[in-house]
Amino acid sequence: MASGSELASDQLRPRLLKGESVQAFLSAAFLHTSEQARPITTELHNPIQLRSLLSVGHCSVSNSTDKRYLRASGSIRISPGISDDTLLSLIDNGLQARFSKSCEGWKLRKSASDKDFDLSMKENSDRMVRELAKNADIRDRTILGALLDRVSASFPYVYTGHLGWPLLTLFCSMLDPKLLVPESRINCELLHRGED
Amino acid sequence: MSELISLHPGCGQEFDKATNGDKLDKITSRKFQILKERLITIDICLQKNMELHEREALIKVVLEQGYVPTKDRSIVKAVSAALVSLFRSKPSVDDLSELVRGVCSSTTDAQFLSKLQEMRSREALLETEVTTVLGLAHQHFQALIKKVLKFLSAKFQQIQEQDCTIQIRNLAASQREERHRVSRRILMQEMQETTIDPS
Repeated sequence: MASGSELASDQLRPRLLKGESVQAFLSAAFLHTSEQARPITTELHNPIQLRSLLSVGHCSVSNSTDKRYLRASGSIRISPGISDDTLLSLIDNGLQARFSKSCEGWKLRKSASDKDFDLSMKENSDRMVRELAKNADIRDRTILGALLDRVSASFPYVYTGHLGWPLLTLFCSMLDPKLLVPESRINCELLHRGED
Repeated sequence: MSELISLHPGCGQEFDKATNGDKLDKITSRKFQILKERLITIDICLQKNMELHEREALIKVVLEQGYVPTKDRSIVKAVSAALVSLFRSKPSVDDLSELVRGVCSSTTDAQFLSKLQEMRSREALLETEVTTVLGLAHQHFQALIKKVLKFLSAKFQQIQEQDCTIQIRNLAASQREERHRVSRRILMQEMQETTIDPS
């Protein structure tokens, strides 16, 4: 029944039906069409059911923040928050047949985006490896400085006592002395004195 | 180091794990520990004044045999005198062994090394042994620091790579998700327009 149509008043009046001997009351009421949401996220659909579900009706984007996609009164509403995997399932099981050009376009864009993701990951990972290798010396000097500080806390004369210079020279010979970290307590002046 | 740790907290944990406890405080060389014990023995015995030849003999015996008693009468006499002065009564050699063990266990390697200079200045005959002990300490520190440095360097590298990879992935994933979101909107818009106006 078309939405908004009205019934004539005589059609709503109770009447005796053929074959009835006693009057009965029949009441009828008209209900306007309305949208009824039916979330299908918890329902299982096989490919045939999905195709049936998606093959008819008007497609639109739901304004709801609810990420479920809905079908009501023959309409398909798809939330923009739908995941790509779910969308791909819908495309492969119904939407592709109806909107082949749009779906192909979406697949191309997705493929390009995924490719760019892989490329970006590779480029940035390579750059990271290069940067880490470039800064490996600084990192090692930092660790050495911290280790020397830690040892000097237990063996203070490593820096100040009679053991100082020989040990200091030994430690520093592990790395290029000119690369000593500024925060370390060892400095170039000490090194020169140690070498003397 | 603090900057590195603030960027990569895992590095701080690895550093603490590698340096906590007595890992960097104890010199594990067996030769060093034996010499430490013998030098402490000599140091205890030399607290009693002795003649040069007695000191020489004592040092020779103790360095070669530890605190094992010798048949050399003059040394026995000298050691006994030293022990009497220490214990205020005539002790046995076992008392000296016990005393040395007690002193050794209560003297950390760091304390022992810090006393070497004083020991050397008190007894010039110990010059060679003190130098040997210092050499052993040098070797130990060199090997230890190299080993820990190598270990921590590899660990830090691993942690840095993991942290950076997570950041790189998050950034790339957020950019990709934004593009996908726009792409989905385009698709849905096109589908909507197609159903409204099939032409």
